[in-house]
Amino acid sequence: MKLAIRNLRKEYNSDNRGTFVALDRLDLEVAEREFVSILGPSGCGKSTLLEIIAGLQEQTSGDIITDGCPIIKDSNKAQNVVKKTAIVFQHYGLFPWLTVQKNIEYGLKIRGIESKKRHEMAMHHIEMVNLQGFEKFYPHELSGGMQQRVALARALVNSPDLLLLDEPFAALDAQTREICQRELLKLWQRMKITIIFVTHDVGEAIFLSDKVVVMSKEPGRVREIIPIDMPRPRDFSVRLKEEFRKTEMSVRLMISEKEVQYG
Amino acid sequence: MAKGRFSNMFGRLLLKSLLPLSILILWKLAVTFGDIPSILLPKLEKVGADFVKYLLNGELIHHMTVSLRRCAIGFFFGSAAGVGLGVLLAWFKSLEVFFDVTLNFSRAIPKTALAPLLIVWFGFGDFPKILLIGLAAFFYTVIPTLEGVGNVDNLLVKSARSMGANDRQILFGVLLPAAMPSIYAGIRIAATSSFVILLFVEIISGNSGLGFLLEDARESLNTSTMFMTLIVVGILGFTLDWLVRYTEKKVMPWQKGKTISR
Repeated sequence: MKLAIRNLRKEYNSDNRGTFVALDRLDLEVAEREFVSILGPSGCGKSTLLEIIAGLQEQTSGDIITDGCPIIKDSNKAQNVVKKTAIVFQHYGLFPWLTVQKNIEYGLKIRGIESKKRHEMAMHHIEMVNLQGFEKFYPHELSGGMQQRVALARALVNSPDLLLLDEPFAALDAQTREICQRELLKLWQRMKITIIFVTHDVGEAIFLSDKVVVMSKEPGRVREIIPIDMPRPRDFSVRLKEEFRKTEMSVRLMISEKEVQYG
Repeated sequence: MAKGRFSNMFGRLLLKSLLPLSILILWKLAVTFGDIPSILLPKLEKVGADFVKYLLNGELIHHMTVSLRRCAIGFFFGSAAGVGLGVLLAWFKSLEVFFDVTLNFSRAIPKTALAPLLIVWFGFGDFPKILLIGLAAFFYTVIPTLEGVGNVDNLLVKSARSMGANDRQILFGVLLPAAMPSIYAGIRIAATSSFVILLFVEIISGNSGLGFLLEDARESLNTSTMFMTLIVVGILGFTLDWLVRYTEKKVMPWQKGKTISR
């Protein structure tokens, strides 16, 4: 899915604190099958942006155009857009009362897909994220990394064109995170989807992405777009390359500069 | 290993039965050798004989059925109404505001305090008894339901919405199951207090039921019947508690082992 965000603005109004502008004049283009990471200080509106794209929040003004069609906040038409977009959160958002398999089947079930087909598709995706044998487990019986894989499978089973990931690996330990990053790249290449990946981790963003978007805060807007031209498929050795480290350093400086400036 | 475990189990069983057995023996000794009037403490055999008598003439079954029926109907309709209204209040915020004062005020009145009024209004029949139990069950379930549904992790709702769930699917597929532990905590209290209120209201205004049997035994100074009824009530209460725990595991299999670790 191709995505264009034009002049996006999101403000929150509260009676006692006045108007807070989370996003302002935000423009962003995401190409078909592109892997884009969004970096930025806390509170720059990264998550808000993702939720607007996912249709979970409504923008104050501006347009989000997918494949040339604007997302319309019309309860009937929104369903179509939503179906093509999937989102995975940092804290998984798995349903604790459903087994791994039923969690993955959830999206299919609410769309009325019959149980045999659901089961088949769930099994296929369980295999894809390497969770065979855990179908009947409840989320709380799994480790963080495994729960995030369930969340990923639950998103992918709905065959989205656009996958939104909101700091999906931030709660995982370093080793699990690296495994998940590699697996995500494989899935992305295999499924030919567009990914927007929000993270705090500069190295992670560069390693995964075709392009890194650095946001500034108050109000949140795009500060810089850094294309990452390193060849694919990538493995962890790219992290040792001069080019990788140079990019990492310049992005780090860019972010810290901004944070110092705003104190 | 197996033998060690068996003797361990045997030891546990022995330890468990030690106190109840001692109480029975002490009772027997006190009645036999102590100078206790049978009005205060009847003979054990007399309690047993009463049990057989009431069982055979059908009275025990009759009073038990009457009591359980009142308890079950009151509990069922009361908690159904409580859960139903709780969900509605959580869903429609303005409705919660509308009910807020009334609900919190009437909740603060101990339900047993309503018994005299209900008797004046509806007499000594089944209805006021069932109504009182129902009211208690209602108030014990409505608040936990309201809070449970209202405090569901927004992340779960967002996840479901992002997959295209509509309002009805969010309510029945996400909010209700997510609030289940809280709702069930209310149901558990409602079940046990239904039984308490049942006995209370039958004692003060009964013409049938286990509570009436107790009060009737008091009037005729028939202490052995009273003890017999108390033991039956104990067994019923014990069964009720077990039933509630059992259904909890059935209704929320994902909670298994979770309560222990937390």
